[in-house]
Amino acid sequence: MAGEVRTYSRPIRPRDVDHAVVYRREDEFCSWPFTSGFWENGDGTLIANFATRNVSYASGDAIRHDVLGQNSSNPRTITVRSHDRGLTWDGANPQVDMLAGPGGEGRGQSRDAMPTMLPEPVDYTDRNVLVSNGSMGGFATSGTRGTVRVSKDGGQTWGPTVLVHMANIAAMTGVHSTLVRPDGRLLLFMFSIDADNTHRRPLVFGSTNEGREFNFISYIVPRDDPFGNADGAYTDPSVAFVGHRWFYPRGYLLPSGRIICVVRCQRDPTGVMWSELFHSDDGGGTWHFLSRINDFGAPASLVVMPDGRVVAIYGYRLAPSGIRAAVSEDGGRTWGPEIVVRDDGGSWDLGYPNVWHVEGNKVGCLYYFNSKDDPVQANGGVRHIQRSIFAID
Amino acid sequence: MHETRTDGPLAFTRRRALVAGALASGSLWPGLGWAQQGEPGSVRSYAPARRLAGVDHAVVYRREDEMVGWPHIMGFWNLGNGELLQQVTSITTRYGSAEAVSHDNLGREGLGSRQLAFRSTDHGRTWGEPVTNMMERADASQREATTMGDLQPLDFLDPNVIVANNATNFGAPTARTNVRLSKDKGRTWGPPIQVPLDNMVSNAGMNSSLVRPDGTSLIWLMEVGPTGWDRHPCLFALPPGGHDYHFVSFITPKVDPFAQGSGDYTSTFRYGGHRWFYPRGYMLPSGRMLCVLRCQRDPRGIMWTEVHASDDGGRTWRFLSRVNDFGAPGSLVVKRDGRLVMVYGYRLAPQGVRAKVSSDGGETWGPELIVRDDGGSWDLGYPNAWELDDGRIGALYYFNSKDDPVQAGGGVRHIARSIFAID
Repeated sequence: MAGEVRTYSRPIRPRDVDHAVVYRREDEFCSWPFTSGFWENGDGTLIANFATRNVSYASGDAIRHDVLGQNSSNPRTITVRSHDRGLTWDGANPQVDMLAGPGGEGRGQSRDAMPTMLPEPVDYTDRNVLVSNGSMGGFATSGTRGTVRVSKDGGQTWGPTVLVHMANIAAMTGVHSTLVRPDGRLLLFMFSIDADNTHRRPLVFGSTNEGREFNFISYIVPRDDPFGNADGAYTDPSVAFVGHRWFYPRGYLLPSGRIICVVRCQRDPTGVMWSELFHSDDGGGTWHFLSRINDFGAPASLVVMPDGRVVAIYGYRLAPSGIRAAVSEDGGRTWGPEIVVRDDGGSWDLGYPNVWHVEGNKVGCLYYFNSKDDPVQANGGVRHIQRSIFAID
Repeated sequence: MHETRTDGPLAFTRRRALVAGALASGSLWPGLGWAQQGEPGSVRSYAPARRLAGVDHAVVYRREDEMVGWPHIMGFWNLGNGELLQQVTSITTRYGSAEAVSHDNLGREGLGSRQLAFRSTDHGRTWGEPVTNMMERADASQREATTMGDLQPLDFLDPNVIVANNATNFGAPTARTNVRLSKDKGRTWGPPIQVPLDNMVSNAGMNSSLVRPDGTSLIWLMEVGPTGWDRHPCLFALPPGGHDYHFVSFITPKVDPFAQGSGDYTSTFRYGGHRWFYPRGYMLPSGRMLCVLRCQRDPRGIMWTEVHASDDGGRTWRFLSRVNDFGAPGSLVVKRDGRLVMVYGYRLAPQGVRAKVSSDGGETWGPELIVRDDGGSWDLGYPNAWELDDGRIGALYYFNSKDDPVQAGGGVRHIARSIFAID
């Protein structure tokens, strides 16, 4: 404890909050923008991916995440773009499966035949170079392996899928968390998984060989938490619905050069989750705990404002569910009062925001949502994509 | 049901305790927020225990056929303006033998038990007649509630709103916590509302609660693992407008690498060793939260009190200090002048009630203050403490006297209070 004792005030509502539907279809289950990819290219275009699939909203149980695959059809990735800092999006005419095509996300390919090196050097400091860092072989399970694709034209076209080097790690999953260090090294924030599907552990890979390959740099957290904050008597057979101490890492660079990494912590994905922050002062080589952002709410997406403040926005899945935020004025060491962006969710099944700076003191976030006021109710309303824009002071 | 503890096989210095705590709290991973401890410059100074002068003792409640005890965990509310509310448990007994009133046997006589509540309106100087089974005085407006959400909107910063919590199967791996709410300073109460397990084996409350200034209601519980010997203090929170209390954090590591509470125990859980339990949180003026913990090798005396701290509202914790060599559970008073006073039962001979004062927010503690040492056996203590309007400290606890004509493993267990000045 470094002497920064928290101050307390009741949760507050932001001023000038503006919500808008980005994409909604009555027969689709839209979800998980946070882990699907979010970019800003050289001309300021915001590009947001999310998952969707066709479902019936006849039953909440039928669309529980661990059975969603078997009770839905036509899974695909939707890409929406905004050219006005996130105020409006092309959700009426989006792109479908932007990353599909030859080698798209590794689907249908044999790992043995897949390259582990991009064909050419890459300048990751070019703002029109975008990186997709997902995984193949599942998600957050023991068969997964991190993948990388690169676009050199601001997200219009994408190159081949390459595998990261495993570095003797059993499995790892990418969640589209990337950061370009000022020295040009691309950092990939992924998490490893043990062969028995336990011990999710955030780690950092870095680009090597003039940007063509990707290798292990460091683990971000200890292997075990001596406090056991996520240990429990879990009986749910789904790895999605049990406790995981640390996962979904995402790194951000502060003006000082410090890198902060937000991670999701979970006892129960239906609400008992929180967000923690680790930091590195040596470019990602070593890491230290910095703060716990909230009592409840994860995953969190951060934005470093032009004035240096850090804003964290997260889904809040306990009742009354919705989207909440917190602001740090000291680089993430301490956090101000909780900001209730909205609390009109229809169930826990929402969140996964990505966040951007709009202008001035305004921030925007795009997330999946279901409303308590929706005429459809299947453990919540129709899962769709919304964005909110609000001022932080 | 009710336990106590004492200290390790050797009397440890403060420095050694700090090292133990530092390791216990995770400094195997330096840099983690919970890891730091043992800052230089806080080496203990030594002074002999001091017997307090001018202590005012009074009997609050005594019946010759009742064993009355455990105020610390039965509910205590400092309602402000000198109003205090205290609940205790009374078990009818014939005091036939020490064995008959062993805590493993209490109630086997089949003579009944009840809860008694006492209220004071003069800072604890005097106490009114008891109210029997206070919680049965139902608040009709809460009758239909099954979750905390049913009671919203709630404003826990309203001094009329108070929280009680206890557990079924307390101390066992099957324990479950129930919370009750009163909106009128404890005159009427809502029904018990079960706290979610949040994937724990169990959770048990002991009336440790605190309202954070942001309006979040906090309760301190302990998980008891499958063996019954692995207690793990934790914090649950009900955010403003929330529908249930939920897990926030564990206060301590799962395992103490020094194993200060480990031993070859063949007793019931109640009479065995437990490293950390009975968590109770307090808020300092700085915003730092302290959590006082009981540590035990033997409830008949080998117990001590530790303080852990959180600077982020209870999200992360670290060891701060060991308060004493012997004595637990401790009840903490944050005095208006900023000093802290820890009052605890002292179950080693000569038994009684003792206290310590910290002038640095609980980092270090002054010489032991002997409030009284005329106990008749180890079976006493469990205080709750408060500050009077004149700055003196009050403590209410259960007691048995060495001078009592009845002697069954000690005298008649009754409720007493002491008022004393620390200077």
